[in-house]
Amino acid sequence: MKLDNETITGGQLTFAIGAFILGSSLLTSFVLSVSAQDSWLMVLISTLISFLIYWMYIVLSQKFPGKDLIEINDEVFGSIVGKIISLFYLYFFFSLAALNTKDVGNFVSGYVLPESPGPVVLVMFVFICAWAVRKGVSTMLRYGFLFTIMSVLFLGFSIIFLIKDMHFGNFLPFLHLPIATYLQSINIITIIPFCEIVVFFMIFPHIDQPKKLKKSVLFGLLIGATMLFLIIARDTAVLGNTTNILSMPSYESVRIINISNVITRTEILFAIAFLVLLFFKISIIYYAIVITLARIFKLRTYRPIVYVTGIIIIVYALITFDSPMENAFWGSNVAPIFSSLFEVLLPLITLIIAQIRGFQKPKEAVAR
Amino acid sequence: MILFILTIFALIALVDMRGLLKKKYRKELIVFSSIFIIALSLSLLLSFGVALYSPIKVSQYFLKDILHLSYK
Repeated sequence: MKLDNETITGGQLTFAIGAFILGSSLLTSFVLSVSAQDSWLMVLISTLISFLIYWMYIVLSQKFPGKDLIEINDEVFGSIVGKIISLFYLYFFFSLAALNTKDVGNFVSGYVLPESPGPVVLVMFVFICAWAVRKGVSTMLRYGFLFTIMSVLFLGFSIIFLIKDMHFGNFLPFLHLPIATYLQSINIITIIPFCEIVVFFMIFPHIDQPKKLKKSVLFGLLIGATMLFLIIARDTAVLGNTTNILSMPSYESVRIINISNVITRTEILFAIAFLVLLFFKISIIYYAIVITLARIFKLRTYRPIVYVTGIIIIVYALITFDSPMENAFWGSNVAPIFSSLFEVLLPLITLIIAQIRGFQKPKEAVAR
Repeated sequence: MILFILTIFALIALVDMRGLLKKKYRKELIVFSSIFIIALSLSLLLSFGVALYSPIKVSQYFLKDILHLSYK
């Protein structure tokens, strides 16, 4: 049963994944506060690990063509256990949406509009996301390309403008922290920006040519990882030792831009870019939540429940954490483990059980 | 504030419920109304200043203090 008949192309999916990963570029402080100047290397290692995890997602998705995560759960675990697991996923998606919305709140009330009350910003932001979700998935993903190109441009400009402030001595000393720190850092990068892609399981069935899925997903990861690597390397080179105490390093480094007092205070442009990327990320998670709800209750349409779900996201975002410090602690220490339960463990179990129960690729269904 | 919340919810009900009633989608209407009631009660509680316990803190407590699965 399809909730809507929209299709997306492989290229749209690629850029959507790229933009989705970049939506986390404000959150580099989680990893920079742990592995400081060696974070760039950790990004490379995590990219390799993420390739494996993405592979697993693709294999799982191609075993059940045209089905999203909830339908896969129903099929693999049976309808009752499947529903329970789907409820866990629902909780996870809600938490992701709330935490990302909270980041918007922290960012806007900390840097952009310090005087305005937080809830107002969140209400307007989530309303725009709800609007996007109601328009449907293909409309939403169409903007992925634009947002990725926009962030490539912004990143390129920021690197050019910051070249004179970069000190490559900031990358030293190299690999002097204990090995556990590096493992934690790899875990954070793999889980928080890269493998949140698990929400795309709700979007994979819409792809017009399922054979292209592998290529477009992995290429999307490549775009996102390259950009994240450049962002982290730029921040380390510019900010040096302060990266691990700042709460939003990627914003702080663009604040430094000053070309002979002419091009200066450009950070508000970057703030717009960050907000646009976060908007994209949150709308995709939001879409996943709404589709999950509609699947669990077997609804025929998902559009009517969009706004009410948004209200729950706002309430959840307002009560998540009392302070940005608690949020940062969660992000660096507990979130990697919490999220890996849903992003690595559960899909892996699903794949293994599907393998044992002998679900084969239905050949005739593909041919149709 | 309460007036603001009630206005927003009335608008949502007006926009979404009309379509559902027109198409006679019974199950959708039931699900919609239950989410609507949950959302309305949560936001009213929040605006009255009731300290709602965050579910994310529950999982943090569970992982960190019971299972000891955290880095610090």
